[in-house]
Order: sequence, then structure tokens, then C-alpha cells
Amino acid sequence: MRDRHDVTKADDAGLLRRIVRGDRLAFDELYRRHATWITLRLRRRARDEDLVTETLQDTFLTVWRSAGSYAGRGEVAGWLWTIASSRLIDGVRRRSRSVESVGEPDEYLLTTPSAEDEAMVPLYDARLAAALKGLAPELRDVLQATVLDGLTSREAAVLLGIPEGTVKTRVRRARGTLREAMS
Amino acid sequence: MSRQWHVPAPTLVAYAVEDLSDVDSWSVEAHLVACADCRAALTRASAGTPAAATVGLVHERMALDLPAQRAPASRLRQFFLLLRGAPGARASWLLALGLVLVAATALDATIATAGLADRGTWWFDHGSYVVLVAPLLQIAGVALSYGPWIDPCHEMTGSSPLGGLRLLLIRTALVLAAVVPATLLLGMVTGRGTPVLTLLPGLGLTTLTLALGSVVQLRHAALAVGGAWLAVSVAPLLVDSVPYLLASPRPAVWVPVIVLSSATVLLRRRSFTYAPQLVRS
Amino acid sequence: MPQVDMQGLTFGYRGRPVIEGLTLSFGTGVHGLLGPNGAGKTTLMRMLATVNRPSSGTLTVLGDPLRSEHGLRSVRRRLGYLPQTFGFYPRFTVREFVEYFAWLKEVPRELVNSDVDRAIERVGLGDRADDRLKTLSGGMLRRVGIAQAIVNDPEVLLLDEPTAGLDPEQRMDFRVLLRDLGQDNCVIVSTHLIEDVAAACTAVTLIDRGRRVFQGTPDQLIAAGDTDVGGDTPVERGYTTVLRAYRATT
Ligand SMILES: [Zn+2]
Repeated sequence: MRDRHDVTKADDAGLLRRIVRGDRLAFDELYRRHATWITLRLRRRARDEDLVTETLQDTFLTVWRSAGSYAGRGEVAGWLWTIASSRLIDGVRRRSRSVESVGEPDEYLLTTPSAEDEAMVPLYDARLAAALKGLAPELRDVLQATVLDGLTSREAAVLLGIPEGTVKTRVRRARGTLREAMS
Repeated sequence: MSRQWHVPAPTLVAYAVEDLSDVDSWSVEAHLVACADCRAALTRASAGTPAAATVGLVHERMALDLPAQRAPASRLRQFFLLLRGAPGARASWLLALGLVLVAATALDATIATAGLADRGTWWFDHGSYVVLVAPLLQIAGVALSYGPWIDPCHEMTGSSPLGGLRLLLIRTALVLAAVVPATLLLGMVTGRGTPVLTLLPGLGLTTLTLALGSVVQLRHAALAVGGAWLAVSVAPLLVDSVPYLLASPRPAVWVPVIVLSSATVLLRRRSFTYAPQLVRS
Repeated sequence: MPQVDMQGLTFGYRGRPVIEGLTLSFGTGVHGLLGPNGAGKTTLMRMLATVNRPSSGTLTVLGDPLRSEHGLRSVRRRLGYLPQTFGFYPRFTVREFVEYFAWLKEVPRELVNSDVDRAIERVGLGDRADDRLKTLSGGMLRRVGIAQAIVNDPEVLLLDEPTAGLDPEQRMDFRVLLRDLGQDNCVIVSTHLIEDVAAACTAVTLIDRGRRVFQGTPDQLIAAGDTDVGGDTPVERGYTTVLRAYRATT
């Protein structure tokens, strides 16, 4: 009883310290807190259900095995996402082994713009938000991978299934478009 | 009033059922990384969605078998592995070096019966096999710790950033850390040769070996330096005069040797960057 | 900018030139390096791995001309190398061995464990990770060699005769891994098994006596083949034809 109580009160870094000592309860708690948002974020980047499942499992197995490697700096959530995105790229690599497919992005990786106009989230200036919405989907994907997910252009190339050079030109194009819209 | 902003509930629900525009999703995602409250709210909002099904499935799978946990990658473990990778860390070498030290100690303890020790000579009164042998052990340890002729992984080591001089220095430091305390301790036990006698020659000959090793192969450097040490130390004993290097610490000799050798190693550090050309096409 | 670029690269051994004025470059993809015995393949691989320094010419790896100690070190962090004679420490476990090279390649401490696991998984040795190397078969040892080469997720990966000792099934797996690695890296595979090149490489380079004979796609090499030349497969015939034509003109 007491143990259970402790686990829900501990912060994420505390959970990781307990996971290092092999504490299953702490691991379950960390999973309960983080699995959902990681899954949703993965699903928006890969529409393949199996790939998402595999990546989520790989991510948390890595956390279980190497919780001791968490340097104790920064948000645990950020650390988890770093692992998850690198595992996702591994999974994409495993799946798209044929060299020939390097060309235009696979269809399932392109998210379609949604007509949804929910309450605006005030993280972006309205003009910027409008400009972002006006971007072509493939430019948005590249921005999402490089800016939001912090991937290198090499990693983004694997994830999106396009050559690295294309990633770089698209980032430049996206930046140019945004700059124009903001000026 | 709280300054803290949170994702509005409808937005969170839209995100959970994956019906939110990309741009809005980005701001949700950026916020989620930093906000535990919204992560918890999202978990609640996603009940019954495909994402929740995935979360449940993976949880079940992991409950069945979690792999063994790993020791965290610590500096200590790094040094341990780097040391174990040293060819000289093989049990046979360690045993051989240990035996030499034990034999030298035994001879010191019973010096009256040993070869060089005629009653009344300098060696009978002051000589110590440990003092004679300790620097040799150190240079042997260095020569055994690095190089294409002894390390089966030398080619891979040679193309890695830590390979070359840095790895050699790490291992040299570890050799010194093992041999120096051992000889000091043995010197105190047998009472022959002041412990300080082994310090300077050991350091001097080790740095000299490294310096020479930047010009010729390390094993040749070790043989040359070791041979020279034996010749200079033992020759006077044969003609029954007092051996200059064994009789007292001689900082006037060793300090310049150490300084000049270290400077040579530093200046010629590039010679450790590439492998000597041993392999034909 | 290609990951590996050579301009007039020369290497001599005891006064005898082994590599003579090679001008070549390798970009993203899997490059097969072919040539008869003594062509200088291994010497070239050792130079690309920065184990040996060229006698003359310039070698640029990942945009760095390898002139400064600092540049060399940062290039080495991004290199992977499996030498032809793969030496190993028999008493290390698979995991310890791969971790040893993770440290040598200065993989950040917080990534060491997960990167080591990942490399071992990628070569399919996950279930043997805690076995000592001396208990492994030759084919498994090669895979350990590949695991240490890829542990730092290298941008330039050099594999010298990586399929030696692998059985046919393992070679098939290895080709899959090669294509996987070649998607976003520069992978150079030196081999005498010509069919491996045809199956897994995006480009082929043929050298002989330290000089470049041919560079192109496997299809171009096949197209060059004369039908009356010996060889079991089209790509072998192409190889033999091109090599003979080159030798006839020099
Ligand atoms: Zn919030």
C-alpha cells in the first residue's frame, strides 16, 4: 500500500531513480504518465499502427534497461521523446529497406490538413499560425521534423523518406515562405 | 491568478482523437513536453481512442517479459573496459609481472645468499632487486598496453578518436597506478632500498619509453630503455663500484629526463595518431 | 558534397606504390569496391579509416581535409570501420566488446547503453549479447565486428570483406542490413564476392594496381560484359571484361 502511494507522489526523475533499482511499480507509473502523449505524437508521424506499437515498446524497454543513463538534466519528458524519435527512425529504416523508394515521400507519412478550427492555442502569433497553415503539407512535415522534433536533416530524411538534400531545400523554402508572410 | 496557460479541454480532445490541424497540434505537442498536468488530462481524454488501445497493448506485452536491466554507463565502467581491452591485462601477463615482483622481493629478503651479494660489497649492504626491477615492470606494462604488434583490435582502435596517444596515456597511468604502490609497499616490508628510490627512475624511464616510442615502435623503445637501465645500473656492480643511479634518487638526472621526455611526447603526439605501416596491401 | 573525396591519393609501402594517384569520391549509398588481389583495396580502406596516412594527395572525409588533430578526431567520431583481419578479445562478451568501442568512439555517456543495445539488435545478436566472443562462430564474430562499426551510427562506414565467413543465409541478412545502412550513410564495402556487390550496392568502383578502372552502377558494369568472357553471372562477366580491357591498355 505504502509503496503504491509513494510511486504516484514521486516526480519523474524520482521514478527513474527507482527504475534503476528494478522497481516495476515505478516503471508502470512512468508508463502510465507518458505512454499516451508519446503514442499520439508518434501516430501523427507514422500512420502505420504496427510501427507505432513497436516504437512505443522499444522506447519503454530502452527506458527500463537504461534508466541509469538519464543524465538528470532537463525534462524527463524531453528525454523520453528523444529516445522515441530515434526508435521511430530505426523502425522506418527497417521498413523501407529498398533503396529505390528514395524519392517522393510515402503517402502515409503526409498528414492531411484538417478543417478543424478549434480554439487557437496561443503559442504562436496569429499571423505566424496563418502562415504555417498556408504551407504545403510536405513543407510542414519537414518543419515538424526539424524544428519541433529537433531531428537532424539526416534523420528527418529517413523519417520522411526523402533525400537529405530535399530536406534542406524544403526547410529553406518553408523559412522563406514564413518570413515573407510575417513581413 | 495563475499565469500558467493550459491546453483548452476541447483542443485536447481533438488532439486525442487526432482531429486537430497540424499547426495547432504542434503547439499542443510543444506544451505537452513541458506540462505534466496537460499530459495527465490528455491521458484521461484519450480513453477509448486507438492510441489508448496501443498503450494498453504495449503495456500487456511488456508485463509478460521485461529484459534484464543494465548497469548504468559510468566513468568507472569505462575505465574498467578500457583497461580490460589492454592486451597486457591478460591473466598470463599479469601473473608473469606479479611473479617477477615476488621473486625480486624474495631475493631482497634473503639477499645474503643471492648472486651479486658478496659480504662487504655495496649491493650486500644497500642493494635491492625490487628497486632494480620496478622500472622495468613499468616500461614492460606500457609496451604491453598498446600497439599493432600486441593488440588484436589495433586497426579498429587506430581509427577511433580515443585511440592513439590518449588511450596509451590512460593505460600508462593505470600501469603506474598499479606498480608504484606495490613497489613502495614491498620496499617498506623488506626494508631494502628506500621506497623513494623507485619513484623517479620509474617515472623517468616510462616517459623516456613513450618519447622513444614516438620515433620507433613502442616495444623496441621499451627494450632499448630497459636494456640501458640494466646496463647502467648493473655494470658498476660487476667492477665493485657504487652504482650511481641506484645509490640515491638523483633528481638532477631524472627531473630533466622526465621533463624533456614529456615535452617530446607532446610535440610528437601526431606520430601516435596514425598506425605504423606494418600491413601490406 | 560527397562524404569521401580523394584527389590524387597515393600511398607507398617501402618505396613501392600501392595506391597511385586515385581520384574518386563516394556519397550517400552503398559502394562496392572491387578489384583483384593486390589491387590495393585494403590499403585504400585503411587510409579512408584514417589508420594510415596517405603519402601524397588529399583525402577529405565529411568535409574535413584531416590536416588538424582536432578535425581528425571529430571525423573519427563519425566513422565506422571493420578491418579485413578482424581481431577481437575472446574473453569479452558481445556487449562488453561493442561497449568498449562505443567508449573509444566517444559516444556520449547517456547514450552508450542504448546505442550498444541498438547496434547488437541491428546485426541480429540480441539473444547472444551476454555470450563471450570465444564461444561464437565465425559468422557471428563478423556480425559483432559490424556491430562495433555501427555503434556510433557512423556517417561513413567502411567494411573490408564483411561477408567472409558468413553462410549464404547470413549473407542475405547482411545485404538487407547494408541497404538499410546505405539509405542515409556512405557505406563502402570492399569485397571479392562480386555477386554481393550486384545484390546490395548502389554503385561499384573497380580498382587495379592502385588505379581506378571503373566507377558506375552495377547495371553499367553488367552492360559492359562481353558474352564470350568467362564468369557465372552477368556482373562477373562485366567485371572480367572491364578488367581485361584496362589491363590490355596499360
Ligand atoms: Zn498545461
